[in-house]
Amino acid sequence: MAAVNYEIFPDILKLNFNSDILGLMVLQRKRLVVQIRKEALLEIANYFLDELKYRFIIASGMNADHGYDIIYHFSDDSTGYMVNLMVNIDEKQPEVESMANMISAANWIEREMHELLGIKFINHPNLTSLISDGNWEETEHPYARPSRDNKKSSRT
Amino acid sequence: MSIKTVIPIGPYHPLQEEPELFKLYCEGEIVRDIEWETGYNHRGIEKINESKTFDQVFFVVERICGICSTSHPFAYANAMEEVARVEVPDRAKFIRTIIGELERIHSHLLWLGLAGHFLGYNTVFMWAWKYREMVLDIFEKTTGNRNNYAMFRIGGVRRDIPNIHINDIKKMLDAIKPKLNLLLGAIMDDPVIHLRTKKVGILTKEDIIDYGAVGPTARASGIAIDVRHDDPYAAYPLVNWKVITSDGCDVFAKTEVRILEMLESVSIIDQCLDKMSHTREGSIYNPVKEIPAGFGFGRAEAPRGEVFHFVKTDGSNSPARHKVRAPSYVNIATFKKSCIGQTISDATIILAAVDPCYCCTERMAFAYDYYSGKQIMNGLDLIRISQQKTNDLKMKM
Repeated sequence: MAAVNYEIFPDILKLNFNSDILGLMVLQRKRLVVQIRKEALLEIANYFLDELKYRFIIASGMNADHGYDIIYHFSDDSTGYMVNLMVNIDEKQPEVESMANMISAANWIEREMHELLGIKFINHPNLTSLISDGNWEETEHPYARPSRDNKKSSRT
Repeated sequence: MSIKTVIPIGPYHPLQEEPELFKLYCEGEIVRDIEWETGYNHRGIEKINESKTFDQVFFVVERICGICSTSHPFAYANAMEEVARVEVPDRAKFIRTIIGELERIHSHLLWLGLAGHFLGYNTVFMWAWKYREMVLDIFEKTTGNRNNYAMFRIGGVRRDIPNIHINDIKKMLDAIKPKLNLLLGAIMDDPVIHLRTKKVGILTKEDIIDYGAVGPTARASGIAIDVRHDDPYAAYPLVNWKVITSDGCDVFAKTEVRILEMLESVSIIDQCLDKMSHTREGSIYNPVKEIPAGFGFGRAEAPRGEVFHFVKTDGSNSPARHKVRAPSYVNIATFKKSCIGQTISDATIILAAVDPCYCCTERMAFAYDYYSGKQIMNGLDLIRISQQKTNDLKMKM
């Protein structure tokens, strides 16, 4: 793997995936958050996993203003740099391509997000329940909040 | 058509924090496939934390795991300090590192004892757990607790270790070192342990990368990943130590890595105690007034591997989203690679080799015939056949 100069890394990313990157946030201590189009997820994830040899840590699914956000966390263990790919998923069509065929580490967490938030992962090899016994209703997703209740004040 | 026997290990299974169920599909003695079911005791901790204040979350995450109860607060503190952009005083860094490393020693000793028991070496079990008590005594002296130490807060630690205690702790630590060397010698030189653990439960480098496995599981397959080294936090950049790896890829390599890591931990604690004595007593935290909205990515190297905490804040006094990934979550998935093709008598030690959490100490496992439903063996029988295999090997030598 070629050594990456992290000072110009955001620019390299923009150069490679300009049209797919919606936003870029450089945080302190070697942390980068990249907001991308969900259609480009597999291509960009493949770039990090295959070309740059990053390790897939985990993905965090969460409620957003209109739908859901998923943040895929990747780590470059040779430098401690962490890249976080953020995709926004529309509430009306909560689905995104599965990464489980590319890397087995994504298998369980996608099943978990499907179960808790109700996001569908397209082409997942085994999108069955991970946490429940399969006895929840098809529409029952305990972590999902309808967007109108999404404001902090609605929480107790 | 070949007849496959299903051996379920569970549903109340000690191998992870929560009870879970493994189903081993066996053809005769050989494991052909494995399936797992988790979530028998899903506690919804991520959801609970959204209703807790930032300070209260420490006490919740400390109870995720009973054995490595400081690794989750460690990662959470790292995440929150990233959001709050607060520096931790040097003395607090040393105290954090000391607690983290003591925990590594006692957790590895606990694993070693159980691994010895599964293999039929109850002497190793008795020794390891006896010497673990010495570590717990240090915990009791420094934190007041044998477990769930409640030492962490955002910006530092809650309690100081007074300089007057440093010599006592060093003496206690010196007493542990020869015991660790004793265990190292006993295990490295024993031909039967070599026969039982070498070339058993192989995980190649490719498997580790594919499953994203971390900690001693990855390091025993020659992948030198260690958050303490790769993304340094607390006092790890301030002391000399090295990442222990092995190229064995088997259960023996995992044992070797863990024992050598304990010796490395003793050295880290020793250096931290020395350096800590030169810092000002009582300067253990920097106050944090406000947590701004933002993202925090915290990680820490727990005894079992990287713990990852992601916190999203929105300017209020509680997390908007808190994601927790324990190392067992990625390590346990590797069973799909390590168990298949092995015998049932080796399966117990392979399932134990990644050191999945042993919080719930009860084990329930039955083997029943796939067609008749008649019970063939239970969990104790599985341990018995594993121990029997060791005895047979001893007789042959």
